[in-house]
Amino acid sequence: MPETFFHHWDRWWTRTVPPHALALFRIAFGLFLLLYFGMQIPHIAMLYSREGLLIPAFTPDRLHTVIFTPPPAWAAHILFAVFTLFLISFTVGLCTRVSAGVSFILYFYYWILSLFQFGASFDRLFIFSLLVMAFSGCGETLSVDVKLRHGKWTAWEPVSILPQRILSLQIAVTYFGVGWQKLLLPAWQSGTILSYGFIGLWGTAPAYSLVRLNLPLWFYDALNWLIKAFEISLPFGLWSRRYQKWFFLGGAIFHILIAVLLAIWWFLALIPAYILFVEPEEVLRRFEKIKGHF
Amino acid sequence: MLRRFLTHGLILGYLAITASALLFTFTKVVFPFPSIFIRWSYGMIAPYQRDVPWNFDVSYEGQLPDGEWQPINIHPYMPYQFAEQKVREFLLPYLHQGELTRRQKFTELALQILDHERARGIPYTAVRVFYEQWDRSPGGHEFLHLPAFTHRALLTQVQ
Repeated sequence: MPETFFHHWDRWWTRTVPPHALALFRIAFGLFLLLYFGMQIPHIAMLYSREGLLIPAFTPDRLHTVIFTPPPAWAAHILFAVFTLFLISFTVGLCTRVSAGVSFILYFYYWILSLFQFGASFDRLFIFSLLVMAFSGCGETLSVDVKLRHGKWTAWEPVSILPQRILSLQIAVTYFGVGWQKLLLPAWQSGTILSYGFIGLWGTAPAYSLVRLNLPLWFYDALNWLIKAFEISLPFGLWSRRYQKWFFLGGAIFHILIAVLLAIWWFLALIPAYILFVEPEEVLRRFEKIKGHF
Repeated sequence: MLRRFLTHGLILGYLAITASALLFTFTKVVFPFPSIFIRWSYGMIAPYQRDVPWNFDVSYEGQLPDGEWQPINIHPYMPYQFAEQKVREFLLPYLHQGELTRRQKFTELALQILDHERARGIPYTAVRVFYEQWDRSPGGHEFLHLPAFTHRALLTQVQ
């Protein structure tokens, strides 16, 4: 029995698989990060230099923290350009592991310097994802690396499934924490948190319009229960081969609605990440099928 | 063999940290792991736990040499989306570090504003920071942000 368990454990966590799921996520995630940081280009000096209002997570008054002293604007621009170049090379799969590793280091630097002040969970999730990708085989197909090595974009070499498992488990745990916590938190025991949330700091014009419809409280209570039911089932449904496509769709609708009603658009990056819940062999099979049509 | 051992050690370490963060999320019990890892993991899995029925803002005023106070627009220094700017202004990440730490950070922010405005040629002699709070309304974010409905408190003043 222990041998069987360990065999399954070992196979689930560490077997060798096609890299297509990781590669497709690399491309989508890389493009998302380029969009996210690309929008900051007009404001680099204010966001990441001493010309802005920065309170780094570590006070830069010691030898090991002086690196977090907000730099002059010209240095901030150069560093951001370097970061963008490495994000691009990560996305296209050029020296992929190094690109992911450097992107992780610089993203973490920006988090300590500035992003920490926002304190958002998505920045932590994205930084963690880059760290995992730096040790993954996400560049072993659909990348410049394999094109240079084998002459074809679609050539591939098998990789360890471990990074895909860690990333998908982390996403599932995120949904689990967010969802199951709502069963306990006092604020989430009625729909009031939604009605007030729609007219709060994050409320958008559509959210305000929804509230002005003057819908009864039972509507918000029902919506609250629907959200909780979805969120507590999502971390399990994503793994179900039979039902996962419905949870993918539900998750996409969920995050799109959050972006439209609450302007919290950063979690849209989780939608392409759902591919990490599909077994790599299945992703390869479907990829080959689509490739066969062209 | 060593590689397999290290790999499974890494897996177990990741699961232990993640489980600890989940346990903290639900019970606020802290396990004896390096807190930096638990806090990072917790930060990934537990957003939007509560809300309040009011809106808030942090306003800044600068004092000119003649003694007159005038409002300072800090949006040029914080070119973020509206809500993100407000979260940053409110120093939300410092909320759980205690009131003393948070006021120190507001003072740090105020001193930066004073330096930046003086560098722009505006001869402020002092900067003060207010916290403002008003009830939310379907009429809009600023609908009830009127003197009669707004609670205002001084957070810090620097010169």
